[in-house]
Amino acid sequence: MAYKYCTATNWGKNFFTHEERRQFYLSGHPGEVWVVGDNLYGDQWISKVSGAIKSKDEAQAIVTGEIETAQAAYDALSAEEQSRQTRPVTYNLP
Amino acid sequence: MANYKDIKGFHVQSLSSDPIASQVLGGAWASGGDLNTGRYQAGGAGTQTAAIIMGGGPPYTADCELYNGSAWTEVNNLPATKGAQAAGGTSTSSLTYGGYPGSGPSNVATAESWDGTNWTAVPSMNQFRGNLAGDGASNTACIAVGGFVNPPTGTTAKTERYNGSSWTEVNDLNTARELLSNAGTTTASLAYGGATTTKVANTEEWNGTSWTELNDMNTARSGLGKGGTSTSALGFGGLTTTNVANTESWDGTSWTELSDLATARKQLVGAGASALSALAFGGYTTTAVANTEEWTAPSDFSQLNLGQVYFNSSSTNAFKVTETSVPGGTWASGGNMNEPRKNLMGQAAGSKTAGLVWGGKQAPPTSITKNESYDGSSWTEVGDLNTGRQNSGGAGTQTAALAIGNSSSSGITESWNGTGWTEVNDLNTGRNYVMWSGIQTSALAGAGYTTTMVNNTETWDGTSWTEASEVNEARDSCACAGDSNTSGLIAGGYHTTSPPTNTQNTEIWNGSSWTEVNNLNGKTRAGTGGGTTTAAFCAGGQNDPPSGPPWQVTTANTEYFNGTSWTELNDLSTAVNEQAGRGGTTGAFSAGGDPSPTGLNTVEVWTAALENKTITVS
Repeated sequence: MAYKYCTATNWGKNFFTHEERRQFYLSGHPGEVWVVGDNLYGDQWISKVSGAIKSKDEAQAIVTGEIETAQAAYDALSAEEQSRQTRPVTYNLP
Repeated sequence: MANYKDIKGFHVQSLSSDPIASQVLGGAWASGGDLNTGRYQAGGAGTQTAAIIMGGGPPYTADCELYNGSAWTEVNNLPATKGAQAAGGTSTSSLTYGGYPGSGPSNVATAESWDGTNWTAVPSMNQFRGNLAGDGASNTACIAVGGFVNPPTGTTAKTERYNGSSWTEVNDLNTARELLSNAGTTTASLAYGGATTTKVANTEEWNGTSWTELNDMNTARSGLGKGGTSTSALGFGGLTTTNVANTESWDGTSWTELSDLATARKQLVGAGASALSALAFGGYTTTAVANTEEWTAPSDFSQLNLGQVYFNSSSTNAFKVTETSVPGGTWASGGNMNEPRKNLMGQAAGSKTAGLVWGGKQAPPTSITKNESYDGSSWTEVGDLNTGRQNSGGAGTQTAALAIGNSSSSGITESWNGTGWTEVNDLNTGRNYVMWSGIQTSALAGAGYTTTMVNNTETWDGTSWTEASEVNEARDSCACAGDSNTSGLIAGGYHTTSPPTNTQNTEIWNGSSWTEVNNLNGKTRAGTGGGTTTAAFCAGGQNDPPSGPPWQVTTANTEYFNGTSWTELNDLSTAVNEQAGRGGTTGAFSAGGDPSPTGLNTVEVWTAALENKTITVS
């Protein structure tokens, strides 16, 4: 499956609808990054939410940066606080 | 221009989405109104259009909000900060209990009751704990399940029930765990997922008295959201090694993968009346989030209908047909036989909804004459064989069957009329582990074991056995298929004793001779099979290991022959060999067998799936 990448701020209700979820792949990631199925409906959704198109590398860099920030925040916690949470892990966008 | 109906006389239906097997499979997540305060490890209760969130952290908060189907509104706070707690009830009558207060070393047992306007402290649980699960009908009827007690205790299996005035300790979960989910009431509830020292997929059902292990989730995870009841539940999001967006529905028996959340997250909150309607809110990605997603399974959907041809006018713009998909098939548990038994190879007839299994062996190791019929859900004892037998052959249906051979030196054959067995003419060459195919009036027996592996073939015409052309490769304990004495298939089997090895060879009988075709993928013996020479299956058995003894490795593998080659299918849930089985590639059963000192009585049933496939048009 081919994807497009963008950033967009989730405004809540109707940011994405059930109908849209059935029409194209959509997944949200840290840094307001969205991975969007590359079809007509995905394009229409990016336009609807005023998404800022990113390359995959750009999108990955945003996500990784967010996770590394969260990792640093976790590492700064006390041992007791760490025991109540888990350390975020980096991952690759599809 | 002529339209399609003018040419062909009927319409092709145009659908905006593919037909589906059930309403829940058409569900999807849509964005809802964001929480005013993003948070995770919070409590929550209610439905998709009337939900409450309370507390959460870190940073730990006493903040509470109500959802009306569109937006969250601030309401009165909890008496004190709290996170990692459980909650149950509705948006106007809920209870939250246990958790971590945000300071100090200990989790708490405290409980607070919400009446739609205010929070009131109520009696505490008996066991303090955090990361527990719970649910219930109202602020006077909730259940607390599992969780984490301070070290050194760690995860707990404790279950408690609140009746509006006090908590009572009841029977424990089977698997102690934390960060699990729970959906239902104090008398009918489901606990699923969570973490022990690792993430788990375990599902347990509470019947008001005790917990029973049921089928696992597809994805083991902790900190997942929930909604629904003990017979119609959702599990979504959570943590595996990373945050996940997976959504699964529970139908009272098993979990099915559904469409993902848009945002993967852990320790989110869930609410919902059933697997058809739910709400996911809050959680943690790389920070606490305020996202809300609404799950809806539309009541207006097209039901899968075998053979339906349609045009998908939405995302794919394609002509499609709904077909039976053998590769998409799965094994599920069936009703257990009354008698456990093994050495059952070949000793079955019929189908997965009208089956028959006879003979076999229990402990002590003597042949038995017991005979049972299956109606698709339960087994009934019917007329016994005249002569007990093990690993012999069989053919026919539930009401017209043939038991072929009974030992390495006996060719005793019996005929079943639905009520009783009658001795008929013997095989010319007495043997067991014999290949079989056909029906009561037209059957085939090939290969097998006398004092060695043989390749004799005999055909049955309803009255007597006649010698025919030999199998190319002598062997025993093969998988078999075929529907008459002119159409048979033999696959795999045990073919040398020194060294002891299995064969992958497959041969097809056309009424006059055997022809070698493509091999099985596995070197397999002693499984079960069924179907025809153009659509056969082989399930379970024993494989040659990659090297050296022990050479018999019981397997759960299932393979499908399409008339040309074998393809791996979904495995049996439990590896088994020398079991009875019959049916075809779209539906079959596997009953009893080894490994077990006394034989198994468990049964698995194969069902092919319905699948929408694109039609190539030009």
